[in-house]
Amino acid sequence: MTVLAVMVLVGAGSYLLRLLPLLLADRIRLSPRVERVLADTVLGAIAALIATAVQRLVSGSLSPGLPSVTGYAALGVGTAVALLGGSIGRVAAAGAATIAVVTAATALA
Amino acid sequence: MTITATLHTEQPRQVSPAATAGPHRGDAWSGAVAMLPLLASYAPFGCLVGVAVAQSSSPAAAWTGTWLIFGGTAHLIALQLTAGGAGVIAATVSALAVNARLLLYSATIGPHWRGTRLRTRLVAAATIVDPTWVVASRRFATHPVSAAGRSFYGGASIVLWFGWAGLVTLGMLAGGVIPAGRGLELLAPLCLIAMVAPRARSRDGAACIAGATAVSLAGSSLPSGSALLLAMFAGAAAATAARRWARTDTR
Repeated sequence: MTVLAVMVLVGAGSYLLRLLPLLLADRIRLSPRVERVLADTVLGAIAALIATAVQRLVSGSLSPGLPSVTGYAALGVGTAVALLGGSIGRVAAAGAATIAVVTAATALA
Repeated sequence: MTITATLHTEQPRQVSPAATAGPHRGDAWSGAVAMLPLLASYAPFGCLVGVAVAQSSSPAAAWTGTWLIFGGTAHLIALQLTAGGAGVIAATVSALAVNARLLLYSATIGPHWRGTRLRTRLVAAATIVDPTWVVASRRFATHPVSAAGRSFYGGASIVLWFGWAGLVTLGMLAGGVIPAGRGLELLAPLCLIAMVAPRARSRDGAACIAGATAVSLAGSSLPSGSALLLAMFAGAAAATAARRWARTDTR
């Protein structure tokens, strides 16, 4: 019962968070400055999610069987591809390929 | 299919002429295709959530969160906290703190729903989450025609809606068979890196990322979701400061 109650409450709250700005879109016009701050806040949220994932990688809870060096290599290559303008698919593919190559090289060594 | 029809056929009632220019099935299809690599990258995470669902004291109730919450991180935190004996209020507040960013996602793409019918917004709101926001915001930035962008969003949402549920269910049913700890869990953060990288090239974007990262790491011992909230505002403050600094520099 507790699990169901939490699912329903979190679901309802999350839906309201998603819905309110759409409902108020006609009534509230944000200034360009406020829109820019909102975009910065979203960017900050995503950066924080990445930081949390890296921290979990360091602590070993993100991918317990993966050596940290392999994880760092994958994130490094992925970041480089992203900074060079790679699409999401290419960044993910580059990271996955790095994991495969480093894992294979480690196994052979 | 209901989602497609609603988002696809309705025209805005009072928006600029550009915003009413022809959405068509091709936009929804493009959105669906754009979502596929993201969905593939989120597959390990979806399976991970599915494993947590299977291990819950009430798997059927936990599985409903796939549709009700429609957000992996908040779903996982809610499950972990309830499994750990946390009360309903503590688990709910923690999960909602993690999902507070959805308010901002919705606010940034919300203007493109101006003038649309209520039911269109009710349906569209259900699927606002990181991957749909990413593809939609990119689309709106490069193709500012709102109606076509909404169709694009609709196509992407349908793929994620059913794809995510499928992944969680797969993890729930076959969690023991899926190899864990092989690094596939890194694919979701890699997608996020691809999303923020373009902004990292500007001074204010880099400041935002640095500020949010620093606060997120420093606040990692805070209660669930608090560090994320603080990091969001720290990032925005850092970006604003960087812009002011740049303006002062140029004077």
